[in-house]
Amino acid sequence: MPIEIYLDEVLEKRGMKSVELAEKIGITTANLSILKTGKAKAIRFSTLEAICKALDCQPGDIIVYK
Amino acid sequence: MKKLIILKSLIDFIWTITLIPTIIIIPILGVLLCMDSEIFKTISILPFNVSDSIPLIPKILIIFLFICYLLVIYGIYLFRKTLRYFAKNKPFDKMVIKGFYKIGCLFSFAGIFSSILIFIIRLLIESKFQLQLGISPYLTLICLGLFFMVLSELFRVSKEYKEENDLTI
Repeated sequence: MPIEIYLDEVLEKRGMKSVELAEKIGITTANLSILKTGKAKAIRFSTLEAICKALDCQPGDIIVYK
Repeated sequence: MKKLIILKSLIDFIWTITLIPTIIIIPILGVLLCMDSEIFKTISILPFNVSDSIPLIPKILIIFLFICYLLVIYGIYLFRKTLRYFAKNKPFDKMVIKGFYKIGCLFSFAGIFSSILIFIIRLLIESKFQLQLGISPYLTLICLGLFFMVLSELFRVSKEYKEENDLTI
């Protein structure tokens, strides 16, 4: 898929763990793992908003079209 | 879920009452087929009169009719198996989609094949050219088969939607 997820990189920059992020945004670690591995078929605006808020970043920092 | 239990019970009942005669018929049919075809004149299981001039045809026709009957029974067995997945709350399992498609193919094939067979029987043995235009059991069987095939396609599309929904974060 030409859409790539850079959640791991952003998490590393912020020094945050996946479990912590999952707790903050209110989704399961399993779902966060699906998102990180690029297996997700879609992402809700509410989830994206929560991730951006928790990581203090822009959607473009996480999702990149190549 | 109550409806499913009733349906499952009914299918189990139909399966049992069709299986018992099948087990009895197989050895009887084997013995009859090894015998002289003159014997067919005395029994009345065939829906037509057997002519003296074609002795081998009744045997072949009985075999083909029995194959059609077995195909329908196998379809019922598959339906029974598919209903178990519904009972386990797994309606979008791969086996359900495959099962419905198989049932559809079996019923349609049995319907088409038996209608052609009956047409040939009437034409060859009774020397009658007869076409049934009304609702016949063969037509019902073909429709049922096509319905199952459409149902399989619907379940396939539904499974895709479900997967998409499950993978939406």
